[in-house]
Amino acid sequence: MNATVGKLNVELPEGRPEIVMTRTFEAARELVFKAHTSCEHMSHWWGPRSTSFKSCDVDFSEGGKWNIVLRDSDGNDAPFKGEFREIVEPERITWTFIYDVEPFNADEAVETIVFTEQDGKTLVTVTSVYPSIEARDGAAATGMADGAAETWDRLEEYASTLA
Amino acid sequence: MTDAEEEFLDRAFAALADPTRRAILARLAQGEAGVTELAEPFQMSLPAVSKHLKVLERAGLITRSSQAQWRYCRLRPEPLKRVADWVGDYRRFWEESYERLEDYLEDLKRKTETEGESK
Repeated sequence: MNATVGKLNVELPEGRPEIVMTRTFEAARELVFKAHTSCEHMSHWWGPRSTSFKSCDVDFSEGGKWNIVLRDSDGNDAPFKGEFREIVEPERITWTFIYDVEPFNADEAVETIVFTEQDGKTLVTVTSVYPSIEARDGAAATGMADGAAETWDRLEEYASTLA
Repeated sequence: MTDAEEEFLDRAFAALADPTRRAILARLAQGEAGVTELAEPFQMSLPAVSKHLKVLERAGLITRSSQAQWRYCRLRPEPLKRVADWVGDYRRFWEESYERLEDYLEDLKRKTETEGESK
């Protein structure tokens, strides 16, 4: 099951505890990879539109830690942190992702970002293994079972019509 | 997110983790039903089904009528929507980030061309 959201494609592979998001960029792979490797680069794009970096500390090496605090337009801070598990330049980055607020910081998601060259463009695949595996399937199955909702998008729509 | 909201999500996700309970919710999405009716598709005793219903009720995902003989169950749509919203937030995080990245890459490309070097 999959759906296109803007240019971001979202898939929920069946029977696997993952959410897979893909997007193609009109840029060389090295450049796209580089944009993921430092505070200097990431502060230009990482995080929802209404946010900016309040602080950032990224040790881009295997075993290195990262720490980013986002501040939204209302002045609320959202701290994130994790650790780099695997770095294969310019192909792949695996890091852990923790929303550093109790009780969410008890769970860590593992995100793998894969960069694939396609005719001068770059396909980026973000695979996130959910901290609560069954939860992802659970919410999906519930929406799907109604016969209408196959994607998060539709699940949300479905839920809002019920509410 | 408030403590109550966090606690709700914890419970909701735990409740949704079980395939039988998801099937029960799917059935209830079509309309209210009694315990016997809910038990039918499963090879499961009524007490076993009741146990699942109790978990769903505690998670706030269903309500059960109070009349003992007619324990009709009903889906509560609002909590389900909150679960969907939470997952949606995560997706939006990447969606918006990558929209911004696209713009940033354009800047980088322009800069690279001006400087005449790639790194």
